[in-house]
Amino acid sequence: MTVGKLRIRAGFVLLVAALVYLDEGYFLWIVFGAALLHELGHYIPLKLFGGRVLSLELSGGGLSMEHDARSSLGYGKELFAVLMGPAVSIGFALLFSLRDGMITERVAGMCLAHGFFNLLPMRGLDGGRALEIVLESNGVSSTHTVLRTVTVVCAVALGICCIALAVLYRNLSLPLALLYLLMLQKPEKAKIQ
Amino acid sequence: MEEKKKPPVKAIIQLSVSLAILGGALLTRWFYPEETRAFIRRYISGGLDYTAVLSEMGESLRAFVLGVPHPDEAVDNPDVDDLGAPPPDEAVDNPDIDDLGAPPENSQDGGVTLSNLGGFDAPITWVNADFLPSFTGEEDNTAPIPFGTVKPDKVDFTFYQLPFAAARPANGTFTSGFGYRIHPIYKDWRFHYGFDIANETGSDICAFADGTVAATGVSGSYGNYVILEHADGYVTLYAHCDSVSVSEGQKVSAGGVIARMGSTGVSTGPHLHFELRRGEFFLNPSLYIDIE
Repeated sequence: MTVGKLRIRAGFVLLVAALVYLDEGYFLWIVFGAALLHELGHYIPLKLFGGRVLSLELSGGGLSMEHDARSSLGYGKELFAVLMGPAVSIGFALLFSLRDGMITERVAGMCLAHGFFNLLPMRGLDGGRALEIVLESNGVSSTHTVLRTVTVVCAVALGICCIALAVLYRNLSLPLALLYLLMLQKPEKAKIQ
Repeated sequence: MEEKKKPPVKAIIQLSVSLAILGGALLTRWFYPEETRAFIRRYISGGLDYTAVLSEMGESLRAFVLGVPHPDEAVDNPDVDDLGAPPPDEAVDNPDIDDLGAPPENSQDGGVTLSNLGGFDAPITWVNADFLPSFTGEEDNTAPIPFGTVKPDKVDFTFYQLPFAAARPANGTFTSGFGYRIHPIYKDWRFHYGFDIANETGSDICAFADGTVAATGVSGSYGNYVILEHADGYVTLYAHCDSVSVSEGQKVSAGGVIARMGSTGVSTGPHLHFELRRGEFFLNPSLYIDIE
């Protein structure tokens, strides 16, 4: 479903359904709040630099933004906009952590996790996007091969950890998180996750 | 342009089905008992409470940013510590007390472990089979405490003759005792500095003894809490309250209602987390209250 620049995928509705059903302790709202702050971290520098947001997509992989930063802003500004997402997440985590309280602690924890998770150098995440920009801006011809290799290595390492923890602690949420990561590995255009 | 020509039937069907599932999730959440969702959560997450993990991360970050000890590392509760040193009472040793605080018997029949995580009370809630009928975890709660485990410094297993009459702080199911527990997340032994009584949200929480309200407040791990100061340096704490009905400085009587039971703070269900301190030392409250 498309409303203006906003595109809502069925996977997003399913994700919301699962979170709504299983939600406990405002987890759903904390996830959405952290994601929103993260995207604002991308959106504000993009707008300040004069970039255009082509679309916003809500999918099973979360909230992503399609933009024209590379063509209109250049590598440096795009890299800045990409890294501002995790930076803002971590910044808000620090900010929320200063205040004692149940909700602020949880928001701080979620922002921290969100920020660092997005820094993983995997395709579909900000870290992967940053790596891609750095490689491309330095004229590395095999950018996509390098990125794919790094992504596979990270995915395998994460996969081993997830499976080991799942077996040790009988925790299915970790393999589910791995599936989530794999889901993000679809070929895509210039997106900020 | 080509995409526009294609009738988006597939997308419409996908979205419709997803919306129906979302509606179903909302209705199910509304009409079905909490136990069903708790069952699914436990089997997906292996008993790991993600909100508790988030709280733990937030607390760790605060400890890092502000340079203060993490609540798990600091047994001291500043709110309680400020309340004065213990009186030089005569102590009466109780030979029946296990210095290592073995788990309570009613926690060993197959039931573990929704957890509260975070806070120095190491609030790991043991939940017995009656409380969580659908859970059949395999954790061995009767496993011996690892060799070398010691009693925390600020825990005192001595039995003291209380200089006042004591009342039970809440009615309900005793779900967690004072002493070491296997942490449901880290799977190691940690100390629980109070005991837990579970009941419905809004149940009465009563003062343990005559005293004065030393503090009320909200904490990340404790939720809404009340701290009472009693005679001779005894202090009690009542955590995870839904609401608090007393204010600082107010005099209270033993058995008087001071709060309502809830699930605020890091908690997975309505219960009272009750702590008893004598000066800076945590006492085993089970010794002073009939928990049967």
